[in-house]
Amino acid sequence: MQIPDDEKFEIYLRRFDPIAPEPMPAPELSYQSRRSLRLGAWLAACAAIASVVGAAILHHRGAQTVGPKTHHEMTFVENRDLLEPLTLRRADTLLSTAPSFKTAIDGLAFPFQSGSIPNSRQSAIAVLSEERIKL
Amino acid sequence: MGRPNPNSSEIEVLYHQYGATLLLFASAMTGDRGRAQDALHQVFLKLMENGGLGRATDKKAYLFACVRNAVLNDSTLQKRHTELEIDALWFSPPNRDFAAERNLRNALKILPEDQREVIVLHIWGELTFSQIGELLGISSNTAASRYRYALAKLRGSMSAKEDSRANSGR
Repeated sequence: MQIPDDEKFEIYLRRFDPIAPEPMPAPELSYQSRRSLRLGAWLAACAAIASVVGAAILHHRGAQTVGPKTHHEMTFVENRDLLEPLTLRRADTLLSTAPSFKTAIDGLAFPFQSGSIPNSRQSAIAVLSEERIKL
Repeated sequence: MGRPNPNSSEIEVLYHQYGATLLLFASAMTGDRGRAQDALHQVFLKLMENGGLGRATDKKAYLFACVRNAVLNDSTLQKRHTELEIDALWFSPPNRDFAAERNLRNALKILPEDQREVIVLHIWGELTFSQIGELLGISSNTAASRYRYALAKLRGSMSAKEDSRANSGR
């Protein structure tokens, strides 16, 4: 190809279009935004730590109050537990830790009774079985 | 979160309008498409951060000056006068003549850097010699004279290459 005079050569060069750049990246966050984000992250981390510590303390106290002292004794409920209302959690603990189902039911029914329950005397099941149901 | 910049849309328009030529200019200066792209992004992100072009009257010339400064600042950190890379395309050639595109890039490569700047600024940047002179810190006459030398060299080297291609094709 014969390249003609300067003017035509300029026109020829202009036919080459420069390739477009890649799209612009998203602008970085400003310093203030970065600072507030960092502060928010710190606060969130502190809140998470506080909630974990709080949950651990509650769990520890719960384990102390609900758990039995010995496995085979009937005195698996401490006196201070008696002041607490019966909750599903406590009932569940009683059922899982009591030596027998009967003992667990007794523990639920007679929370103020400490010490072992005489056999067939104060058993909730025994009391209920003695009751006559009038139809 | 940061407030949306009211001038960001104007900056985006400028990016679309002049981005390709600015990138070519930066590529011609650095010889490295990646570094050129980085310099271009750096300039436009800075403009967004600062909220626009300020009181610049000649926006196009201002953008070329910003890109040139960004490249020069970058080049002071990383050694200057790097070899122009050959693989990356700089132009979309007419009639998909990629041989001609490569020929043009090679011809630009062998030009002295100051002449290459003037050629790119005048042909593809469409800046006047007066604007080029102001941008490069030279007189408009010097800019025009550099351009003439550069154009003659470019034409000579491209013609020689075209002739050799034509001869080898026979």
